[in-house]
Amino acid sequence: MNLRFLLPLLLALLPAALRAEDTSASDIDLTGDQGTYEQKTGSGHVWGNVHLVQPGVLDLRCDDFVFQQGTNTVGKRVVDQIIATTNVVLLTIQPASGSHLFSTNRALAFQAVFNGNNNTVRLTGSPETGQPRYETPEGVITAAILTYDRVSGGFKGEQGFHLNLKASVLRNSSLFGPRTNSPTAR
Amino acid sequence: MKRVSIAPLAAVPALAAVTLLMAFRALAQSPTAAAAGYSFPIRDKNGVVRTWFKGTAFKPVSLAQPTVVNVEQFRVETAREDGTPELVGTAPQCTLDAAAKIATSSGPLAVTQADGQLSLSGEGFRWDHESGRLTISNKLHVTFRAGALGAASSTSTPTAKP
Repeated sequence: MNLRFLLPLLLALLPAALRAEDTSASDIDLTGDQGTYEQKTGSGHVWGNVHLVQPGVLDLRCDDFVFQQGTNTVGKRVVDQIIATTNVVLLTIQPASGSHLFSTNRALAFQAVFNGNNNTVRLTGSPETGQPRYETPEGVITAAILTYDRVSGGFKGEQGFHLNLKASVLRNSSLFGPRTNSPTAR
Repeated sequence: MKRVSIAPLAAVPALAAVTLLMAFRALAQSPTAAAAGYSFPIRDKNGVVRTWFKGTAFKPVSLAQPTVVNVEQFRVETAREDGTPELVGTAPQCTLDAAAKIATSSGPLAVTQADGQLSLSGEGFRWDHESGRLTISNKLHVTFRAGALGAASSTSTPTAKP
């Protein structure tokens, strides 16, 4: 079941967790034990202790990593597809928001697929539960398919969506708190 | 039958010259000597030079394999079909099989895409020119330039590999 209707609520409750930083700020470093690069197709394959880091933005670890370069409309080479597979752990570092200096959210999945055409990361599967899992300081989201929109910073869950919010998130929320008629300062 | 003998000392330079000549011919191109070393242009199937192997010194590994040479300060440069620069690779040392057009080394290699969008390095490599495949066996490090993630207008779809 597609639960798009939950997005406004999620975005309201998890402002710090679901905001993406401009990913063009810094270079991206990728390390691994071994790998190949196909000059003719512009594709690369890295395996063994794969670690991808974009400082201040994201941190990805997995066992197998495939990327594909293409040429954009101005003739520049861009990585438009990435498939990270096996023991995928994705940390997204969120910028300061409100009283938070920053926060680090964690996604666990069997596979993460980046699609440059719509700038999304699609997470599926995990060895432990069969579903990807997205953990934030405010709660946990699971679904058969989790899609992360790098532009909006939003997550979309499809099939078996489950959201578990920590009680502390709602402690100071007026959403579920008692309503009063007391005047408010202007 | 009359037997012709050549003095051993006189045969050495002749043999070395033949060896180098065979190595050069194996590269299928005419070698050009430059002040900084040697440059071997490699033509594609259309006869267009799109790859250059360069080095400051070439030395045959053995007389039995005259087309296999040790190269100091190895440098490979490739260009796209339209002639624009594509890749530059450098290594302090490698072994080049000129006939197979394969460079190998247990040492370091650094490769940079001409537009700077990607660079990679590692220790221990095999560069197969014919297939266009570079294999790095240790300490692989790839750097994508900031903004390198994006939509492409032309690409081929990768598949997850087991």
